[in-house]
Amino acid sequence: MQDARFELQGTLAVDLGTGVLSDPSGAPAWLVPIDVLCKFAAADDRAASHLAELVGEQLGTRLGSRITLETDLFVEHLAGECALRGYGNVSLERWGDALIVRVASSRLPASVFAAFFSGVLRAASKREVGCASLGEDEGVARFFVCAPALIPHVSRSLQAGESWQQAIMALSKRGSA
Amino acid sequence: MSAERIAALETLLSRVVGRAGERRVAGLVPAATVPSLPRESKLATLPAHLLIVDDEDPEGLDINLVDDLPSSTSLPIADQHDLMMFDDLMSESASRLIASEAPPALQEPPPRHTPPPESGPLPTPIDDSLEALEIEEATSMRPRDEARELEHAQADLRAFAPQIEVRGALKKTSFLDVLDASIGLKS
Repeated sequence: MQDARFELQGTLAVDLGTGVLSDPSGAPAWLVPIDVLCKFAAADDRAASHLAELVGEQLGTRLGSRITLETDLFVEHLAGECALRGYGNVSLERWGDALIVRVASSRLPASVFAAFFSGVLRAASKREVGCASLGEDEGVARFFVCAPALIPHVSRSLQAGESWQQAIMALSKRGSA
Repeated sequence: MSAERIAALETLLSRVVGRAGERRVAGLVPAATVPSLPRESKLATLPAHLLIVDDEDPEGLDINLVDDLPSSTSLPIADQHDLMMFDDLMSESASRLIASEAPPALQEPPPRHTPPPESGPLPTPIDDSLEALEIEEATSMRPRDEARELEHAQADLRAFAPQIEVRGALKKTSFLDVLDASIGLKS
């Protein structure tokens, strides 16, 4: 079992002599400015989402050994890993059974983040998991963790003018009916 | 805020909380005595208080759920914003219970509990202040049709309310179980 608590020490390494930045697994990494990623997403959202999904899968693979940790500890690892990479302040909410990922202080497009978290959770849990963007409110973006088949339902509800709370409540009632 | 409204809120809250952890509502204390909440709190790191802030009440209310639990007990709600969202739901439902009172203006709770600029040690939960306010027994005055309204409101909240679990209960819940519930693999 991995250490329960998230530890910052040793997670990123910079070798100034060789000019190599290594991620926590020891693999070479590259720093990409957020502005560049935003331009990339604006030019080709599909490609940017695919890239984000691959990045998420790599992180999810790392987090897989922690997936059975208590929820608050897993959140600590997820938030810590995301913060290390500059992805913003990540936390979780539960509304009934609905799990929601919150991201504050990030400038990446929601579609990119949805793909990223889908990759993280799919690789970590080895489940078919999708993340539906619930929009942004006061600088905080929310993503509903759900079965991939539900994502279009959420999108349609939001496009029809429903709040994200209403959209999730409707899905909850549908599931319990 | 009338004693009847306080009693209705207390009843409502105790039902909602009972759903998750069978915790009883211990009592009401003035919100002014409640320490501010850290904005950057992660899941399960909030102090053991659930705030009910009422624009009509200059002091607001803090419904303390956990005076019978260890002081380290926390609620797994992400931050103050979520507490306020929950507050909105609670207030909306409670307002429907009290036909004799005008619906309170609770849609935008005031940011009276300003979080500290940096996340620091959690505020110390209040335990002695519970004696500050005695709740009058006014629930028997509620008309029958309001009891039906209460049932509807509680059903709404059961269908859509933030999960409230004490930290002890949360510790037994793995993230995988939470994930499975969200994607419909586990009820």
